[in-house]
Amino acid sequence: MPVTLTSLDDVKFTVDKDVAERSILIKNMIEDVGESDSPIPLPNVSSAVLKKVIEYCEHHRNDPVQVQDETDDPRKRSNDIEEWDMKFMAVDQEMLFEIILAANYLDIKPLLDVGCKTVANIIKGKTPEEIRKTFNIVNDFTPEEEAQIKKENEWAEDR
Amino acid sequence: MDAFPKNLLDALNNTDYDKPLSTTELVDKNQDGLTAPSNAPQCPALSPTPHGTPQHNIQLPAEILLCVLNLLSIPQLLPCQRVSKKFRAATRTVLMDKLGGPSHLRQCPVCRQHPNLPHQQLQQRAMSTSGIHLGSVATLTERGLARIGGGLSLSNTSASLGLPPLPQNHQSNLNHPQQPIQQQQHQLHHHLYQRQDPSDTTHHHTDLHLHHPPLHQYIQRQQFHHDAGYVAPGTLALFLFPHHDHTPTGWQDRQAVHLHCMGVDRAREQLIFQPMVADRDGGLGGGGTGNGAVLRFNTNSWNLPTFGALSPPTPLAISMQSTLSSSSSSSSSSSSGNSSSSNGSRSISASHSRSSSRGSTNGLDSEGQSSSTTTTGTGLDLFDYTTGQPRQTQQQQQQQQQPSSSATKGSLFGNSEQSTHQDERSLLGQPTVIHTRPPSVSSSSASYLLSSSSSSFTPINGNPSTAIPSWSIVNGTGSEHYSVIGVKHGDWPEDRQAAGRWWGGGLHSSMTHESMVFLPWARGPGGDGSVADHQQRMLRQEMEHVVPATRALREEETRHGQGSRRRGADGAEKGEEKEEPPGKMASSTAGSKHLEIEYGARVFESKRCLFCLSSPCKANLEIQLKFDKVRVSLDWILSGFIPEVEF
Repeated sequence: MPVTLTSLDDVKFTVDKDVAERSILIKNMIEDVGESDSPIPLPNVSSAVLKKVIEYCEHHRNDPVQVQDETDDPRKRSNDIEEWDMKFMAVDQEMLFEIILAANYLDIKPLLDVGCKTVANIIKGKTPEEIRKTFNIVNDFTPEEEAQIKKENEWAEDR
Repeated sequence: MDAFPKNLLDALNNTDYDKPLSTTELVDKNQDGLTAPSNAPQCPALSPTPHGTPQHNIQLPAEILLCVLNLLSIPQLLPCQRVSKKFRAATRTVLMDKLGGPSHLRQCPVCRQHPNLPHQQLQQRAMSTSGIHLGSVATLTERGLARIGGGLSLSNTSASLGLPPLPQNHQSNLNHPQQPIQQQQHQLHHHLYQRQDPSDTTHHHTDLHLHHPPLHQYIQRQQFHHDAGYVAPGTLALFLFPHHDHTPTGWQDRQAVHLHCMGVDRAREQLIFQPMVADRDGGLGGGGTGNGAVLRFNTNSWNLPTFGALSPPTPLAISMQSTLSSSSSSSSSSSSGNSSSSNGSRSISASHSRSSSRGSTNGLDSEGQSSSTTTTGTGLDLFDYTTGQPRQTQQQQQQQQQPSSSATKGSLFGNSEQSTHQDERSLLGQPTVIHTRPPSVSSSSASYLLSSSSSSFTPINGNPSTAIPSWSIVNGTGSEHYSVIGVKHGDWPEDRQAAGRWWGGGLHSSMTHESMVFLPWARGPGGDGSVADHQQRMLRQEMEHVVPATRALREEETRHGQGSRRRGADGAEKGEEKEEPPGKMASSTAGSKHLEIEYGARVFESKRCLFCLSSPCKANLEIQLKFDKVRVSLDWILSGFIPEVEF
């Protein structure tokens, strides 16, 4: 049974139910409302982002549902990303963050994990200044504070 | 087409990205989170994809930022502390999690068990044999404390590590004699702290523990043989050496108390260590070597002072496994390829000459002379591990200051030269200096030592010390750190020995609950040289009731903290009085490095000397130290247990 999703900019996407139900939010809504032809509004997701999310859900439509314990297992939380997911996440930063926010909103944990891993991989190996520059973060430390903090951890960072 | 139900629409429209999934007080919503700049260049890690020009910055909410940071290892998190204040707060939240471990895997402080493990698994763990024991330890390590990315893996065996075989006597005692009491305590604990879902992170700002349902049997597990040389990564061990001049070569004679991280105090950014084994004899009864959380020493076995001589300190070494540096080495090998100098871990020992004044019950005055008081105070004190000498007067220490520093400096340089031997267990054989820091850090450490002997201890009672402690990097092996603190008795009751205890009249002093805050500071090269302008440590001792260590710490932080980190000439007494601005995040300033030890001490007279089996023997009089809790600041751990240098 197809499900219609309406994005923020009122673009409608029709997808299979099992694809749509990769989102726990949509799944719960469908269960609460029952079978209905009415489109499901997703007012916090733009059409561009929703298109990407649907693309991800269609690709992973047959994946087993993640068990909570597995996701908490540190051994399974490595930052290794599947090749397809890596290509999927090969977007600009704004889109990456939009996807993460949409995954959080739609409660698609695998997508959220992939997004977080991607961001973590971006941070990895960067200096604080590089991180600031990458993510447009303002340095609000005083020079003294920054020097003190740097000195505290330099034994590990300078390796 | 029917309209979608309005309540669901309202719910959808009301969805707020900023609403955190979990409560965290450290990270405000969406402030200084990861921000996608509107015109920022694309991340090099990502291939360019045309996607319009954004008009507004997009920020990730706090909970997602925490999720992202949680995917990084500790070394990778360290630079994140320097990005911004809010970023630092989030990073430290994650660091606390990684160092302290998932809350649901921490042990219950009452029953010493992990809350969410099946009962059968707990029993299997408790009854593990020696061969399995290391695996059990490693499991605990990985789940508990070595989650900082390093440490032993499950595949490591004692043989592969070059460690001595683990002893056999760590069987569990399923029928603990104190079972009813323990059950009551446990029930009370459950009553106070309701069981919570491990996935519930809303209590992270508290110091509560998660618990399993009350068990029908109290399982006392002895995780370690207390004379074993193995300290699990992430575990803290207190060692009591038999003689003051014993270097770690004499480890076979030591007593040890192993402590496991069982909690995280997020407000104060401390990891809380507690003894891994409940006291077997229910407290302080019995004799013999240290059991559980108790260390014992007496005149024969543990180097109590001889008559007419200065009281020699008995060193208490605090050893911590540097799993952090292990993870650093693995990380550096992949990132920079320069892991040769960081292969393994560092071995650092901070040594201190003894502080003198610690209270009226000390029995030792501020000048290091034996006191003739007859109180029964006992306690911990610092010990000059560099020289291995008993406590000295100020003049004596000043005379020996230069040689001590020279020796220490030489050790440092030796460390750098011998950095490739860190995997050898040479510690057990001879005091070979092993130091695996990169040369740059070693150089900075040397600067500690060149001026290291200029700090002082000021006790709470306001009696400034003139002792001159010194820092040194002493021997170590593998990834162990040794911060050595002396254990001294206060005033060994010589008068009572002479008066009548020889013929009975058993001495059984009540427990003295004490706490000590240890602040490992060392002077930087730009210091003014005054020995009294650093408050190194604060001691607090009160009889018959527990002194909250937090008081001492807060007083100290109020005095020396405040961002400026200036300390007056008399330490705490002239600390700055201004209050920290309300709302200012503690993490925005460098945290203090300190160690708090809460312990009880008392003099205990056993019925019979364990050595000569004679009742009228002074050896049956012993001092017992029962350790309750050790708090280690996050900053000290992250700094690699090096002293803080003030420039």
